[in-house]
Amino acid sequence: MFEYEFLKIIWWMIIGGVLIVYAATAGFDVGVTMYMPFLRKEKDRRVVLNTSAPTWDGNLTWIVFAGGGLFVVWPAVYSTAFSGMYAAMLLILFTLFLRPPGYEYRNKIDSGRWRRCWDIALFISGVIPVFIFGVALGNCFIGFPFYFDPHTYREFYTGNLWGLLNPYAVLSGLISVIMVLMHGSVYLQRRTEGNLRKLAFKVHVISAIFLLAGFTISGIWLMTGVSGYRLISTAAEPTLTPLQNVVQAGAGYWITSFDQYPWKYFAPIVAYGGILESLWAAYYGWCTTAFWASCFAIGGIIGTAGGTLFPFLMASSTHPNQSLTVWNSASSQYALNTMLYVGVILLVVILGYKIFAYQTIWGKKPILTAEDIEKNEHEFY
Amino acid sequence: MPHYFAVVELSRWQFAFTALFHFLFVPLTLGLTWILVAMETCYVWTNDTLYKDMTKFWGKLLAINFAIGVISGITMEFEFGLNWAYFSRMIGGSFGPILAIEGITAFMLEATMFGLFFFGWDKLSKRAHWVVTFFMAFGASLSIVNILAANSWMQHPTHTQLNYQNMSLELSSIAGLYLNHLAQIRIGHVAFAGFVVASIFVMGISAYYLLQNRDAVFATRSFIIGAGFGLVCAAFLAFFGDQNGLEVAQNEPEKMAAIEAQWQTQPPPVAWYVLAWPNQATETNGFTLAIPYGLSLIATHTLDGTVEGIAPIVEKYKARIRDGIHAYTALEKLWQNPKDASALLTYRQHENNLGFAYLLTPFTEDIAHASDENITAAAKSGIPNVFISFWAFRIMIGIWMILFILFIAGIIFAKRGTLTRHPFFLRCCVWSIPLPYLAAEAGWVLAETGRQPWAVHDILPTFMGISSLQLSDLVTSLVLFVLFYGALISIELFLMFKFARKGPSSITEAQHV
Repeated sequence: MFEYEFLKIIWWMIIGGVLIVYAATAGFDVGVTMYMPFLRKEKDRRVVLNTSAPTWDGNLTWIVFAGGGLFVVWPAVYSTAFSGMYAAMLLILFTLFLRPPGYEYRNKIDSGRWRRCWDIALFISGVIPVFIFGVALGNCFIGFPFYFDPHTYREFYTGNLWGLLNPYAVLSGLISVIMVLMHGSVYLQRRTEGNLRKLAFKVHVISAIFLLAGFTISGIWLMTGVSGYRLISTAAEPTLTPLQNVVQAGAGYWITSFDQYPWKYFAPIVAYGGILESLWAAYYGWCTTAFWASCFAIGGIIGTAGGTLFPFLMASSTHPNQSLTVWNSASSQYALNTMLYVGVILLVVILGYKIFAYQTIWGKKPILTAEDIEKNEHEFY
Repeated sequence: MPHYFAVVELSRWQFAFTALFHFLFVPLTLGLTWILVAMETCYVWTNDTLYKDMTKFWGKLLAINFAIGVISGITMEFEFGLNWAYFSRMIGGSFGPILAIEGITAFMLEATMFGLFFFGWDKLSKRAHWVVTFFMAFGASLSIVNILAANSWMQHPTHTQLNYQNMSLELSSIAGLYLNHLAQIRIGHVAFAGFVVASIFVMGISAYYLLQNRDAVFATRSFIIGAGFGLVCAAFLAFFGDQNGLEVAQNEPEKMAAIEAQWQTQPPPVAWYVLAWPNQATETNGFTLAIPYGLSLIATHTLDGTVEGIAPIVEKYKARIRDGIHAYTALEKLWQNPKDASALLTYRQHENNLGFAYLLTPFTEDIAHASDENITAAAKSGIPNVFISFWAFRIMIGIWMILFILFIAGIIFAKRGTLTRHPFFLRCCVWSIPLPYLAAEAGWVLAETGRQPWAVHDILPTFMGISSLQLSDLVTSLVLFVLFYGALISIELFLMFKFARKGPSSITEAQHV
């Protein structure tokens, strides 16, 4: 069996990695469906939808991986986050409901009004969950109002939905939306041609500029405005016992933690580099390079957020000493160890068939045109 | 906690509603994917494009079904954390792994292959596409393996130990959860139930075309595949159902007693109540119609076996509650002083019955000094709802019989080539499409209400598992779930009817006459 501490860190990395993959795959699906209500021609809308249709199902499934991973690896985080942010989570869920029917049902009826309704549904089902995920991540920096019963460890959450919508978290939600819009635009340049590609390039440039600005502002805000947390000590080998922390709160603590763990600097460098590289490559029309650069940008941005928080997962604003950290939220050593074997093997298998899937759809012809859809009217969405 | 038990009730209603809703879509996906594999195998084998059209057409209906299956499935994964936070926190390390493995293996595979199935017809070779279809079906079935392993662990928690220091259930062997007898039998039972749902679905819709005198070749071949597949699956379904009964009698005697409305242990041979009107307040059956020797045969496969009655089970529960109180008081001492060695010793002696002490929670604030009346009331609350268990079981069995007859008749008529001469039979097939769904839902109700009052059998009562939410949160979310799901299923049914009526011509230009 692996060392307990090693398992806790490796699982932190795996879950972070899965969240990044989720954002980088389902992210471009959300990005392209954000175009749907704003395109004038039905022909264009169908091209846009069908660039993501063959694989969106498999991409969305990463959220199930992330959710299942949270459940088994950090049960305390899973239960506190989902029950605490009850209204926000339900909002994600209810808007997500519109997504599968949006893809599967839109083309089943040949009516303009029916299809326009699903265009709006697809837009909402993409933007709202992404915004709320961003808001939730933003609140991880602010801290959540929760505490535990000292004996039974039942959790109590004393905030509500409006408490989540503080200015910093809203900024963080907006950054998430702009991020997936940029990613979707890069993807669209890679998969389309002509006017659509030109439009996507314009949106790409604008959203990248906003993303750079937002990302920088949020960093400065963390440095100066937001009160951060610092873990002074934790119980020895804690398993799901979040009560024995000593935590300090203070302005700028998140950024000063970079001095304690210098590896944290890598993520923001990747984020800036990725965004700039994607712009540069897109300018020269190297769409594949631009796409992968954009994936790295997403990895860098989420990595920056997760890294800055380390070792915190969910800080408690009302009872900082009961904050959930990488050290005190994990399941038993046996569960982490077994799941590590299972998870690594399965990740390799998944990677294999995902590559096969993308290769099958795009290998021979990486671009989708309106003529393709006309030829196979019955099969496309 | 004035609203605590109201929140419990609403959390249970919400979970039941969303799970039953999800289970309307799962069985069809489960079975139809394998029927698609069978059809595509015929295509690869014979090169007859009619089979390709069949695969595409039934695949289209699968897609309409699958969309709602996906969203209601994501709801389930969210809901453990949303409404059952304490349960989730407690069981994350034991039940969590299987749920995670389900997401990673089954759902991921199914969803990825699903896209390739629809978009890969022109891009893959015939055989490669067959492999994709196969893995789509395989993924769907893997899903049921994991979900049933998880659920069976809740019914019969093996390889698990409560760690009182952090109030979590810790796992000692993950393989053990899959090797659990109960799990393996229930996996078979639910998988074959799904196959039967899909068989009737295909048979019924094909019968509709035959009745309308159109797409005759297409419809007859689909009908035969549906009926043949269905007959085999219905037989296995019954076998696993029977085995499931034996396991239940062994591991959950209170559930068995409730299913059969056995208030007292009767001397063998025991008659089987075909019909009865159980009354839990008076602990009697208002009206019974019985088959002599039946129950001994069903429940024990012998003539001299019997089923333990509810009254003796309640007596056993009283003893276990009294025993559990010792564990409870010892645990309270350990909270005050973790180093109290004598308290730890007492706790270890009685820890197996700690869950029974928690059953007292609804009846008294002071569990350590519970009165005899409290203990009797708590022991009785340990028996599941007899009326629901009894009737859910009979609905399931009754529907199975009807379907079995339909499959046999269908095969006979199809073999003689006289399907179109029996319009009444065909009409029966069409009207039977909802029946297996009803049976599947009844099965879920039986399994889950039969496990009450436990979330994890003998360890964690359901009412302890909830999140710390307000009553208003639950009311709002439940209303919204009903509205959203109502709207979604209306759209789904509308499209399903539309495309089923349109028939195979909707995917191809050529009519098959």
